[in-house]
Amino acid sequence: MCGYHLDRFAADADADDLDASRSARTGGAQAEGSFRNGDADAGLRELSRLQERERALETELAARKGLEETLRQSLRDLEESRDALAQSEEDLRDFVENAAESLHWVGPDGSILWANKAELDLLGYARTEYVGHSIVEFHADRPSIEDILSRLARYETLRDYEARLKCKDGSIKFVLISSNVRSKDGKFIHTRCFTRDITERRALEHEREQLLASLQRSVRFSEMFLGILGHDLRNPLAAIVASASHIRRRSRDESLAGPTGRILSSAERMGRMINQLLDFTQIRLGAGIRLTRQAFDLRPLLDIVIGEIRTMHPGCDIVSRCTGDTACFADEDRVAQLISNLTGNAVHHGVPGSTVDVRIDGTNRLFLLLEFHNQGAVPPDMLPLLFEPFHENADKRTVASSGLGLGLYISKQIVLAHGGSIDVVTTAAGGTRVLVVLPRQWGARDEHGSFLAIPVEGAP
Amino acid sequence: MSGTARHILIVDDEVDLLEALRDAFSDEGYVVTTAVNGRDALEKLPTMARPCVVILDLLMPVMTGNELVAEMRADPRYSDIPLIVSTSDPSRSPPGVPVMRKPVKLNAMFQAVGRLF
Repeated sequence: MCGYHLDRFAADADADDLDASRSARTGGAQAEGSFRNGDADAGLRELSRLQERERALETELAARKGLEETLRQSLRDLEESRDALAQSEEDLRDFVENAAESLHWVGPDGSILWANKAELDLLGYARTEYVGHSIVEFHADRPSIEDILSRLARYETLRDYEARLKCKDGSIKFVLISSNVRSKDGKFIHTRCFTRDITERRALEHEREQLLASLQRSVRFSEMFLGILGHDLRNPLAAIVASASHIRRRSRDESLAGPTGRILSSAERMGRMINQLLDFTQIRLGAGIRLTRQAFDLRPLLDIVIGEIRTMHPGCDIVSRCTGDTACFADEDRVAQLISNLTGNAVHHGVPGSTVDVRIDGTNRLFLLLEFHNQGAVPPDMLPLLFEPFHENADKRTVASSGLGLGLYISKQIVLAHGGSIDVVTTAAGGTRVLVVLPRQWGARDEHGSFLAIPVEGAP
Repeated sequence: MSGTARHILIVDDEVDLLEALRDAFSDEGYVVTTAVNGRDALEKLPTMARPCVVILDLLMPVMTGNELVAEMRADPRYSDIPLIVSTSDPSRSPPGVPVMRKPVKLNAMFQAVGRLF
């Protein structure tokens, strides 16, 4: 803007007219002489014209003063905007320079054009040791930075790209890089890179992974150990059972009946525990309960199993009964194990001297219902744990007699492997009832009454 | 017992069990040959009277029970000899062979063998 007053720009002609008008109003004697010598009307018209001209000029002057004021205001506004812009720029510069997040720019040739304080602090370099250098120098993994640069050269946007950066002290920082490219008229100007330090998080993750791997190794080792131990124990046990059975069969000495009987019953219990440990190990190693399905009738199987339990518990009253068609297509050995486990469980945990009822209901076309009932209730706090392995049992006497606490767990796995379900209903008045729904999965009988085995989907 | 000798071959690497079974089956009138692994059994088979049944373990050193079964099934001289697997891990058993889980009750084993005659 120039500094001259706007009056200085008034036109010369306008100035003359203004002077004439003023003279007409103030210089009376001179004007009077003129009127006397000239046309009075012409003088009046001239006077009127000059007055008109004066008013116009005053109006013009006022307008120009208004314009001047407007321009001055605009000038002040402009100066304020410039100050605000400068302040904003200053704020922005401070923001990026002192932000907690690490920022840097990389030029199209891979050299670092700018980095903020957080970035320099993160890696420990002075500005001159970092800015101007190639970004490649600071990456621990060359393929990683080459990939980053090539993707940015294609104007891709990177989000949380994991990389490792070299610090001045030789340590490595794990970072997540988010970056894109600032371009102008299609030309690569520089990258806008945000670097987030995740070193601590990675260290914690690594520690957790190590711990998890170590725990998994321990668990696996324990399970393998149990499996191998269980397996290797069976061979000498088999020798004990075979030898004791042989003595019992051949000896005519009555006094040996008791000791050989005890050897056999102890070996039987030990064998059961080993079987349970092996089953448990197999389930936990992910192999699950393997089934060999075949068509068979559950009725004679029930008689055999209940007969064995009666032999082992001669004082216990066990009542078994079957109704309906008891044919099924399942793993016979596993179903025998299931019946043996659940009946044995009812005998061990039932009220001493009371009756244990085992019932198989074959009246439904699709499934068999197996029911095991004993007197006495399961404590409410034990119910949720009943089918858990090695569950705590408040009744220490029964723990000692029932073994490892795996019987119900394995029973449930057998039922699940057959696609069935198992539940417990227990009340003080009604006693405890274990209910098993075993899908029948059986084939129809042929014309001779024999079972027709129908392959079951998923069966071995 | 009949007058005809009934030969059986028992294959197991557990020597105590092998001897206990030999004693028990011998007392029942069987002529028992024992082998401590599959290779040992294959070597003894041509030298002994044809067995009526081979009772075999699965997990054994040198040659496993499954390998022995495969060899016998591939050999026309032995492919029709009945087999009974006596193992602590029935899940490894070859298909189509009766399996008894260790520790096997002696009576059950006598019954299983008896059913083959």
